[in-house]
Order: sequence, then structure tokens, then C-alpha cells
Amino acid sequence: MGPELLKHAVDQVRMPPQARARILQACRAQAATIQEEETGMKTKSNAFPRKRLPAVLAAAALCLCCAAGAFAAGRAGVFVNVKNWLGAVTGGRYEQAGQEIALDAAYADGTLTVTADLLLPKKAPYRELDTLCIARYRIADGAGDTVAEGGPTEVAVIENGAARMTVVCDPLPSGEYTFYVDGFTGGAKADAPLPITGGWQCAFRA
Amino acid sequence: MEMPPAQPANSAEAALARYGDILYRLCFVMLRCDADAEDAVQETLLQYLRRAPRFETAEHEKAWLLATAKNKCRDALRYRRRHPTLPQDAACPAPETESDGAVLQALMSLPEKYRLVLTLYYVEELRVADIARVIQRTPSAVKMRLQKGRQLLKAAYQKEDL
Repeated sequence: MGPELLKHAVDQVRMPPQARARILQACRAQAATIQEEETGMKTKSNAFPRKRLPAVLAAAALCLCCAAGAFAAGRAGVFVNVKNWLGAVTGGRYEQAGQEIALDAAYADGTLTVTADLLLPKKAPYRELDTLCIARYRIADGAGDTVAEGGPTEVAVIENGAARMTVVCDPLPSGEYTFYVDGFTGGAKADAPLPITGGWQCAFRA
Repeated sequence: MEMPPAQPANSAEAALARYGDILYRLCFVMLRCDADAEDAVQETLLQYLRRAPRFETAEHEKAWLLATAKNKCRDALRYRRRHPTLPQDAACPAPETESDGAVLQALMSLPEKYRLVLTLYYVEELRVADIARVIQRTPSAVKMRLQKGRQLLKAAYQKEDL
């Protein structure tokens, strides 16, 4: 058996005309699909600047507004439930109140008089409070070293949206000091004390 | 450097006209079934359309088509092995040819790797180096397969002839 016989035998195998027609049809359909995809992609890419840009700008503006709102909300105080280990609510506290109380301090003869101004007296919880005291405080000298700390202070009555508290401490050498407060405790008649947390500080001179 | 423009999508029609029979013969010898061979040729040409490859010469184009057809046939054979259904003879009856059927039957009874190189070498008259490129083996491996394939074909032909 020579190679010619093999070649002759296999050469007789030819693609049937029906198969050729089917393959041709499939190729034409595929070519049309490819052309449609390419045309669609071009249209899409050309349309992007005109149609997408306003949408992108609107989305960016919306995000900015939401972020600003969230930032503003983040600066406002919030009520938080206090729960026991069973998950039952046993009380509450008010957090992030740093921007809602202004602090001022004056030192004289071993006594520091601290005035806490309630900046939002008509807003809860300040409108309900009758008394206020400092839960935790710290006094730092000009170098940042703590020279006194303590708390809570005596309870002061809130009058005209302000509470004046007295902190008794050891006599301080002359100089610049900073008074730090980590939290207050508010009181109302027939109600549980309300911890108010945040961060406050004010400078005073001895 | 600017690339030459892509070939038009309808060049598959030209490829079908030029290489349709060559691809069909190869697929038929590999798959031993005319319907599967038709599917493999169609898949080859559809891939040709999708990829739109650029060729430097006609030989390059022919080698690409043969290699792709070979891969499609291997995919089909792998699928057959993993999804056995009807016996091969029942599903794909042998085609009616005017040629010496014993030679064709002997060729198609050989293992796939010998069928492929024998067909490419003796029927499509590719050089050993070109066959090596199509099947991604070394030229010496192609020569070994040709030698072994010839022996097997001779034995199978004598068996068929008896």
C-alpha cells in the first residue's frame, strides 16, 4: 500500500454541499452578530460624555449633600440606651455633646469657678435638666502635665441656660493652665441622672 | 508602528471556500463521523471570525486553521469520552466514498495521534516542520509518529483486506 493510495482514499472525502451551506449560514450569522456588537460598542462609547456626565454630576452632588448631612449629624449629640447583660434597657446617656456646651473657667485662691453654658437650652435633653455637675475633670499646666484631676463636682442649678460649678483644688503656681472635662451629669426632678459625654477644654490663668 | 487593518468578518467565507475540504477531511479522519466533522469545521471557522487573526502568509493561515480544527476535534473526542451515549458506529455511519474503503477504514482505525500526522503528511502534503507547528511537537517526534503510523496502517490495511 503506497502513499498514493492513502491520498486517493482520503481525497475522496469531501464536504457535502448541505454541510457547506449550513456552515456558511452560521458564519454569516456570526459575522452579523460581531458587526452589531462593534456598532453597539461604538454608539455606547460616543454617547457616554453626553448622557453620563449629567448623571455623574447629579450623583456626585447627592453624595456631597449626604456626606455633609452625615457630618452635621455626626457633630450633634445623640441619645444612647444603656443595656444590661440581658439586653434590657436600664438607662440612657447623651453622647457627642462637645459642641453643645461651652466651658469657661476662672481661678482664684485655690478655687476654680467653672461656667457651663448650654448652647441649645430648648433642645432635649437640656430643656429637661435642672442641675448639672462635672463628672470627670483634669487640670493640665502649660507643659501638658496633669496637676489635678477629679470628679464629680458639686451639683449646680441651671439658671438662664448656664450652670456655675466650683472646683476646689490645691493652690496652683502662677501660669497658664488648661481645664479639661470628659463628661457632665445632668439631673432632672424625679428622673435618673443623665451622663453627658463629649470633650471640652478651656484655658485659665492662675 | 501602525497595525494592518483587521480582516473583514466575511473572510470566513473565503476561508471556507479555500480550506473547507481540507478541514473537513482532517476533522472527518479525526472524529470518524461526518456530523461531528461538520460541527468541528463550523466551530473552527466561527473562531476564525471571532478572533480575526492577522496572517503574514497563506501558509500561516492554513496552519492556524488546521491547528484550530485539530484542537476542536480533540475537544469533541474528549467530550465523547466523558459523555458516552450511542456506540460510534450507530451514531455515525461510515460515509459512502468512491475510493478504496479499506484504506480509509484502516486509517481511521489507528490511534488519533497517528491518524493526524498521516493525514497531514500524505493527504494535505504538509512538511514535517509545518506538521510539528500544527501539533506543537518537535519535527523528530513527527517523524517518529509517521514511521510508527505507517507500520500500524500497513498492519491494519492487511487486516481489513483479509
